[in-house]
Amino acid sequence: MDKKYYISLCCAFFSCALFTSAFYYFSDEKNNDYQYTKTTYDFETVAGPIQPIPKKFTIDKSWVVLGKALFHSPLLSKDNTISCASCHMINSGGDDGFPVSTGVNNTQGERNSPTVLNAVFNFRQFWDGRVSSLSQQAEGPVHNPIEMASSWDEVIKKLSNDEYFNTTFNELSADGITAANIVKAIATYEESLITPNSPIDNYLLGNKNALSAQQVRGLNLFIDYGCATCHQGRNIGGNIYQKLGRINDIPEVLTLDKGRFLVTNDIDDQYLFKVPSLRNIAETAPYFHNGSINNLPDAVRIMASSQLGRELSLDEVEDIVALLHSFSAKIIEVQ
Amino acid sequence: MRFFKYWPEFLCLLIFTVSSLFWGCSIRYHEKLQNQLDVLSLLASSLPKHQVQLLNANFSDQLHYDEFAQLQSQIEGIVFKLSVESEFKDLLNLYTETSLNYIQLITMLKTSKRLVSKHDGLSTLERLESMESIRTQLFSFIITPDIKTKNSIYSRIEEVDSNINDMGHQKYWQLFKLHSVFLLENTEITATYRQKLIKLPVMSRTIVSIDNKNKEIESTQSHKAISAFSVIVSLLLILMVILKRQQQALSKSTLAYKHAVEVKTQFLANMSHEIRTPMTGIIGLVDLCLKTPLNEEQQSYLEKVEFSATSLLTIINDILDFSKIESGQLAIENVSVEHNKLIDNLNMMLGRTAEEKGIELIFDIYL
Repeated sequence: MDKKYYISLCCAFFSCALFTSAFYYFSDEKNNDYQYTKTTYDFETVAGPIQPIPKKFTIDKSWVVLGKALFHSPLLSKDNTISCASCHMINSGGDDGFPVSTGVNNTQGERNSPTVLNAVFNFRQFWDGRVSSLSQQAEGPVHNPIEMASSWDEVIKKLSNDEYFNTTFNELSADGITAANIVKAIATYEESLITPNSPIDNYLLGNKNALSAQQVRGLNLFIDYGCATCHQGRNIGGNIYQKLGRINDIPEVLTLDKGRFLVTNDIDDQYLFKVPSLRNIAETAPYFHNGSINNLPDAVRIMASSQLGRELSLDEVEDIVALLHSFSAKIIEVQ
Repeated sequence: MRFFKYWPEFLCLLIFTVSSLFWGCSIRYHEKLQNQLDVLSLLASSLPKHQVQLLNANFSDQLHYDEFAQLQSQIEGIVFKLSVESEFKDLLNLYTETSLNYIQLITMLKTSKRLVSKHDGLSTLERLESMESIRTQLFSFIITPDIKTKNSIYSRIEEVDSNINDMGHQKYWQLFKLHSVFLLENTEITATYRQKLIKLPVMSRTIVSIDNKNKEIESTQSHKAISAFSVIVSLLLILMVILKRQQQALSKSTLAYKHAVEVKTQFLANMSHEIRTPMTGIIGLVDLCLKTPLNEEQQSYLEKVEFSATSLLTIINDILDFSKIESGQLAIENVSVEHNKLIDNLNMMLGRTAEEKGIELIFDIYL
């Protein structure tokens, strides 16, 4: 029994053990993120159909910062011309103010870009609600040929060449730049884009001076006439689907898009759209899925007649429009 | 070919590697299943809450659907990442889609009911008695929908519609008519959705799925145990192989040692044998010499030479006996002993030495 035998046996044994433990280590499918804090909101509930936006929430700030950079980075588009923020301008209502948005090569979209503010509280994303989470939503525009027209491979390649993104991704996750991490960062940033402290929320939370007399009249009409049937909850909408023209006829310009029918091909889903949030509605003109209505009074009148079968008087429209202005607030900075 | 000699070690290491890989795999698989089970359990806890929200949706104090939306979103998120049979996934998708269809109708129905039943501030309309009776009929229809009431309400509505001309009434009548028609059209559909939602076996299917996952986890656990056991067994086997090899090496060296001892014994035996030949010659010649005429002194010397030579021969024979003992061939002889002669011999051997040293040598014999 010579020394050589023992040494080679030990070597063989340790290499086998090393091989298997390496296999075990690398087969780990768990998230390799360093301490990602899941976003949680401190919800407050009040009596009545409209609920306030939470003021307090915990969120992973480093991912928010990264998500913000990605959100504003044109590297996500094929020809480096547009970013998420091109169509979702954070400081002007979270949309771009055009009926439909412009993608790469000046292609025009088909639907009005919805606001990204408070989008986290929507039950589904997109006008037709075709995805149920922000992270799934973020994939959409990157691949859409008339929006960013890019692919994850291309985006990852471009981001890898960028020093900031390369270091930040590697600092935050062992996986570095991956599609999942890009989407996660953007979704986390979007989770931080909420607008509490609007006059309506302050009113609901007890400050009776937050709304003017006209706005209070508007609120009563809003609830009484049934607007709050669909436009309820934290987002004053965004909780359910509803059919455009449920009760009465709709203007022809709004019938061109068959809504959710295009996703499900179910005849019952014709003109079905996600009830949009009315938060910051005063900043997000033009209105409806194709942005064909330019002003709030018209939008209110169309809604009242097509969804509730009610012709509103001029005063009523004014009161409700005044109320709609109280739904606006600025996003809060993540501390 | 040198390596071929070590096939047991290679085999053991192979068993070790394969079983530990299998062990690692089953641990990972177990983790994965556990995650899936957690997701399913989350689904199992969300579904009843979601159903409660759905069925509460037509209560008048349910003013917003935040909770519903949150649960809906949560369940859809679970369904999206759930890895189960497609049939179960389809069932869950059907459930979520149906609940969305249900909730959009039930919320509108609730509002329509409220708008239709609203009396306040409409005192002038009370004259429209026909409207009042439509309202009554409508509510009975909502409670127990049947086609007869439905048709009768439709005809009443048409009747009023063609007769109404008062512009003051017109506005409210339009609202009333639209919502009544909506109620008539959708009450049954909504009830169907509701029935469908109640009947869809999502919950039982989830529980079945959880049970299956649990069973799978159990079998993975036994796989885990088996592979861990084989890892240990392979380690023990390696140890045994090492011990076996050591034992082999030991017995080999023992064999060599034994051989060396044998050679030595053989040498001794041969040597004694070789010495015996000249010794016999000496004894023979002394014998012959003794038979020649000698003086007394010579006679005595020669006798002593003969005795010493015979003793030496005995010693040599003893050495031979020694090697016979080692080889197990010694035969014990039965020979009679003469004491007097033995003592004489002793005297002859030791007497002279004792005399030279001035020691008195006494043989004391009791017979």
